[in-house]
Amino acid sequence: MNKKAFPFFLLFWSIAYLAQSQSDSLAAKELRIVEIFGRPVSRYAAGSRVTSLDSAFLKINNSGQLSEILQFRTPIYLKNYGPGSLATAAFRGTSASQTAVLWHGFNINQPTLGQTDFSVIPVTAFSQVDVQYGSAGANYGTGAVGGAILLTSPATWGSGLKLRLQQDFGSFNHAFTSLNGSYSTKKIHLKTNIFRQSAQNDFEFINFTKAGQPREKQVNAATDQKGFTQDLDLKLGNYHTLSFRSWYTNNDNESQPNMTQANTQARRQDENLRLMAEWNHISDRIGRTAVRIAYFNDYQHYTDESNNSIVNIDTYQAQAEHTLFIQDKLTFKGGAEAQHFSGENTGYARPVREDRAAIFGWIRYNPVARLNLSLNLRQSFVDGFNPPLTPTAGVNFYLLDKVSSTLILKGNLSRGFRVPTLNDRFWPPGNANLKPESSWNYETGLQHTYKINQFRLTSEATVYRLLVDDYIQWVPRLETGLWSPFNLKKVVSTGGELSSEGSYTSRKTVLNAGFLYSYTQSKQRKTYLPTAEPLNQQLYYVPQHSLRGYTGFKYDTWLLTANVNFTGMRYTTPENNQWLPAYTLLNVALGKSIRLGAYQFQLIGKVNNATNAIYQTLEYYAMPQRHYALSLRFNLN
Amino acid sequence: MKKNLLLNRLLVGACLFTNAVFFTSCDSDTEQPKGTYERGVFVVNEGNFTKGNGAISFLNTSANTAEPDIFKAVNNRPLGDNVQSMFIQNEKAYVVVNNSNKIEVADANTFNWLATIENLKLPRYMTVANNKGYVTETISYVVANGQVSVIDLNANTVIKAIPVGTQPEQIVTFNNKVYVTNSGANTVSVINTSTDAVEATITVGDSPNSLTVDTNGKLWVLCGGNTVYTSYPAFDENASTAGSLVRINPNNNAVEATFTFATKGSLLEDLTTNKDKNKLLYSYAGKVYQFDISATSLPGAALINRSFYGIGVEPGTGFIYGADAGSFMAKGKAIRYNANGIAIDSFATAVGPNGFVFK
Repeated sequence: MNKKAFPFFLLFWSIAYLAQSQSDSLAAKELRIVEIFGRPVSRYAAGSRVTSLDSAFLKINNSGQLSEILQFRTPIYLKNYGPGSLATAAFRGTSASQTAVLWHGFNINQPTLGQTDFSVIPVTAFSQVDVQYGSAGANYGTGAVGGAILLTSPATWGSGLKLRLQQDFGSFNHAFTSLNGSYSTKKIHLKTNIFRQSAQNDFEFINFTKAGQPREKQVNAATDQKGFTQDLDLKLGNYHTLSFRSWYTNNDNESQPNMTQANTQARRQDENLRLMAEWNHISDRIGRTAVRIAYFNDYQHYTDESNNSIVNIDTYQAQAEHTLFIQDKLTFKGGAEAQHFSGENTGYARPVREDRAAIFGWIRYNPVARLNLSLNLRQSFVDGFNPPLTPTAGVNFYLLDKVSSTLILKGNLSRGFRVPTLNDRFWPPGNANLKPESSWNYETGLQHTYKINQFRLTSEATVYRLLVDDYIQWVPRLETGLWSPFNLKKVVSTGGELSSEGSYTSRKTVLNAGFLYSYTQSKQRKTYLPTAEPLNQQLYYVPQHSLRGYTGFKYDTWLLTANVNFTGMRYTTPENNQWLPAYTLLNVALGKSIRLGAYQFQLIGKVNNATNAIYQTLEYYAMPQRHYALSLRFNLN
Repeated sequence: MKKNLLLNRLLVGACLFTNAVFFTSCDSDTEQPKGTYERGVFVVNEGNFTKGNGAISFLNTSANTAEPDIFKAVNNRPLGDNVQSMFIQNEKAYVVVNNSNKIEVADANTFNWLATIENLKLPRYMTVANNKGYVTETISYVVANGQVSVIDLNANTVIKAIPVGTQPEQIVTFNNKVYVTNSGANTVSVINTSTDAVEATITVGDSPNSLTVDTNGKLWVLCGGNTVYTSYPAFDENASTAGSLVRINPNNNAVEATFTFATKGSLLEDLTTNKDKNKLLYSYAGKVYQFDISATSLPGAALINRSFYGIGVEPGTGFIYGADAGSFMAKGKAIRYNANGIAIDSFATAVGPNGFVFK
């Protein structure tokens, strides 16, 4: 475990102990919780598409990584270099560094590459995942070009002591152990989770790149992950809330070679420590103030037979914002944030530092009950760059607003940007004339909700056009043969998403089913340097058609769920003359729980890739066929 | 009687006719093509590192057609990751697939797969001498020395590994000896093909990357020079060395002449000869130059004002081929010039073309 992490771990427990002894004496006072944001969607810009992943789905699949979750409930295409290896996201046809990932409001994309490796984000570290589609530079700053993924663990108050123990076993020597304890009263919420996950990943696959198409066992794909999360939320008086959160993951993963490559014993050891503190003040008169500070340390050590490189970056971030409510219809929010990066990378000539700052504001105005208007603005400042002013303007119009059904017409215009990453700036030779990427996103859609008795149906349809300009790509310089980043091209993505989910709840039964279909056409329209990449062809590894389907049935103590991912054909070359065929993945889980008073035992059996599909998300990187897992859980309260 | 004579004549005529047909078809049997790829230009395409898209393209210059990936078209599977070079001997094509640690052996005329040579460690270039194959191997980029593996060409297995200098690169056979440039250092190893051991090491300039033999039986080695970067693109002038062109006498392994290049820090590689082997061609600082082997100084003016990732000269016609790999994101181009450097036409290749093999 990282030496820095352990003292913080102790600190939280000691604060909790002190706070608890305090709260006992304050228990007599009642606390009025003021619900500011009535509808969850109002946290975000009006007119944008935001979905929240089902928490029951997260609970069943908590032994894996974020990459496995996203590929079943979002249209995001995950490029997997093997089951335990690097996984990057392509959202609405954009690149891996054009999706922002935030944890409680702080961007956790690696500052060196500007992207997140979704294979080292354990699901157990958070309890809520919200997905924002489209550019959202005004809300989230750099990197939110194709979309943003928001990870949070909201505090739950007054639920007492809870204990969760979990042990999973699965194919290819997969094992997952998790210890989760939480204690909450009306004034304190303390939650700790310690976990360990490991797998050998020596699955069998057919190597069709070798003569005779032999059946081989995958080598060099083992994973070993351990870590903890610790959250402490305190209510001080009626108006103040103080939160401390920590998240530590230590990953030791081998990097899977593809079917054509020789095994060079590639291995990545990542250590990520994320610490934050947040102070919230809510009052009817002055509104809501939030101040957050965070410290992240991202350490990566990559080794193979010819390389040994270390990256160690410290990030310090601070955010302050204030929200003012005027009458019932008008909300103002203004704020500022600052970030400081410092660190080293074996590839850089010297240690680096970079400072960034931003000021932002938003107005939310409901001129009439049925109309929500919002305007967000953000201006970022980065050492040596001029990111554009990023606005988001959106509108929600309630065509129908009844108790049983609502129909909302949404429209949204937003800008996004992505500043060059630390690698773009500091990896020799670099490019002194590099500009940030910028994007314009236009979308419109309809959202419908229907509720009657125990039945609920929500549907949403969206069409969008996303233009990304000054797209950064690394190309080799002619005179020296060395690679450096250039603002190479303009890419336009157009498409749409159609989704629907229905659920039926009764005393003993919960039945739900849903689907999400997305269509993406992403093409290069213009290049600023002469390259041989042809224009107006579908970008490679962007599937045109994607379909996700899911259903869950819960009856009494039994549960049965199925998740389907259909991904259409993807081209593997810019000329669109070679492709990977479409594939379908089906995951099924069956569970039974037994309750004895305050104790609950649960057993869940899972079959993943039940149809035994042979597929790759990246050419020649083998993926496992059918495999199984068994989860044993014990819950107290 | 008359009827019989007529019948006779008809029969004789028929026999003669069928004989004529048989004889002419016998003649056309010897002219039948041995395969689609019997005559033409092969382009070696590296592909992108770790993408497994290395390929051999085939240019049929008379029909003006180009096939991007002949191995995959014929054998229905990819060649592998990072195809570095190809060597043809005895109607067999040996394709060296660097990052897959193997050599794929195919019929040089039909490109049907014959065998795979394994147990190699980052192989680069191959030659044949004394009925054996010799392959340079890097082993890894952190070890001090690479090796040359000796291959039994009947069994297609490695029979011996000969340690040489750092990062051995190109390899050539002359007078039954094998010469290897050690591109990570400043030497050329000479291998005796009877004993399969290094019999001499010749010191040349820094980073020798390519070599060739001229019409006078002299060995020429192109050394890229060593550029020590301080904070890119700036480099240390004093610590860096310039590139050089070195002439060696293979009879006594003596360095006879050294031509040093004027500026440091420029890319200098791809030494090859013209059709008559009395001129040398190489790429320097983004242009192609031609050097007469009897000249006393390096040429000032370039032959072709364009940067290539690889160059080759066609033995029959003397035409110069340049491999334009572009940005490596999409397929490259092979551009054909006449012997005076005037462009003729161009062909599409696969990703990352780095060299040519002529048949």
